[in-house]
Amino acid sequence: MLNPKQLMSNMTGGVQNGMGYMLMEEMVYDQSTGVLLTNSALNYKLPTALDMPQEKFDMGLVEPWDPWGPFGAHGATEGISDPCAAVLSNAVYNAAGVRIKEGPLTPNRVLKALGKV
Amino acid sequence: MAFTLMKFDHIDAKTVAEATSALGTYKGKAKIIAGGTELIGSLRTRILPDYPSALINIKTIPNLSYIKEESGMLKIGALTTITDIAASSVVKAKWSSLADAALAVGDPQLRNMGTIAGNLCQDVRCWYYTSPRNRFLCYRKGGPLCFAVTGDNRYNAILGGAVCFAVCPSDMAIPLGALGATVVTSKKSVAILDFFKVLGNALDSDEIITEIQVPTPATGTKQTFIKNRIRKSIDFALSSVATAITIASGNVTDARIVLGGVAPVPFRAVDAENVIKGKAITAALAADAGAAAVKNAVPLSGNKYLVQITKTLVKRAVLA
Repeated sequence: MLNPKQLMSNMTGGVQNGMGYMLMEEMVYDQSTGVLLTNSALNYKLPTALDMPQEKFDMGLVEPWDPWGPFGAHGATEGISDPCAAVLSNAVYNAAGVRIKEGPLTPNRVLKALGKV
Repeated sequence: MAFTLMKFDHIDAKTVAEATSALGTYKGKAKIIAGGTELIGSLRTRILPDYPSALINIKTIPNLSYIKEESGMLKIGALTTITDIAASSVVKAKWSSLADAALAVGDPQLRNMGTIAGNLCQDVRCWYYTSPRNRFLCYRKGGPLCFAVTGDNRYNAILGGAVCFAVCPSDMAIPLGALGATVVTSKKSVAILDFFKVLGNALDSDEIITEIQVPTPATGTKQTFIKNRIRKSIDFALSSVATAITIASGNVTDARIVLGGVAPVPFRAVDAENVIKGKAITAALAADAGAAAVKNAVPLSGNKYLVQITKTLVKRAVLA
């Protein structure tokens, strides 16, 4: 590991990325005109530092040998964003017993899945 | 999508009279600028059909930024920044819900620049209304219809919507409404809830806000402000609730509950107030108040969830 501290901070960033993808970010188009409605940083919501969980992430670091990388090196953290959507969807299933397969998990989608609206 | 600014006159007003007379001279073609946090953005995205021919800067008027307790009320100058209100020990002592709401506005940079009067006068954030280059000429802009009714209306009004379903974006107006504040302008004094109209506010084209006056809450008054939003910073309310509930010997003697983010104006939930008046607050009563608050809600196709959120927020605010 060249820089474990930077690696972990990059992993945290990856979680933020995946979290924003599954909780807030959405390209909304007007159905009759095709105009993009989420056209600004205000409407297309990226998470801020305040949206991150309060708990520190528990990270396990493993050093593999990558035969295709230079001197066995391997890039890290990009893949962190990938499971976030499934993890969050599972969390909703665990908490409320409903499966939501379309993101982002806005209050509207969750309440609709729960049959409250 | 942002474009360059177009040419306009820029006037530094030295007094309130100078600012209002300049507004009169330009006959509705001038805009007031103080913090500029909203105006510059709307000029750069060119959301309005008419571009102003002048901006009148009122930051140059001295002695309009103050917070003081005087003759039993809180007086806030029009140019007081949101940061100053959030940090003020005077406000935090007796008008805590106001300080809470101030902290819920935008982000630190916006709060440093934005003023209380600007927060009350800000334009709506409906997706159709704010579409760049005036893409949708909606009813609010003088067009024939409200596009949100048939379009994506997830953030539009569930209460009190009529010709326009854009919601009042101001956070400060909600606790000010619950506390029974008065807006003092260069011409008149008007109660805060009368200041807001569905298509704008009670200001004439040559009138500016000079002061906000908030009466001291009666002894035993509990204030709360709760804002629900998708993102915890730099986001407007999906729904917000401010309450000022006076309790004497265990029973509610007076209550004011105001809802934000769900109606074109700060919406006073009189039905919810009536539910709790004269009774001791319990969890069941709070739930009843929540249900009463949204009793007359008429949600559009995509915002039924706001009814559920508002109901829960009112319950929590009454119990808090």
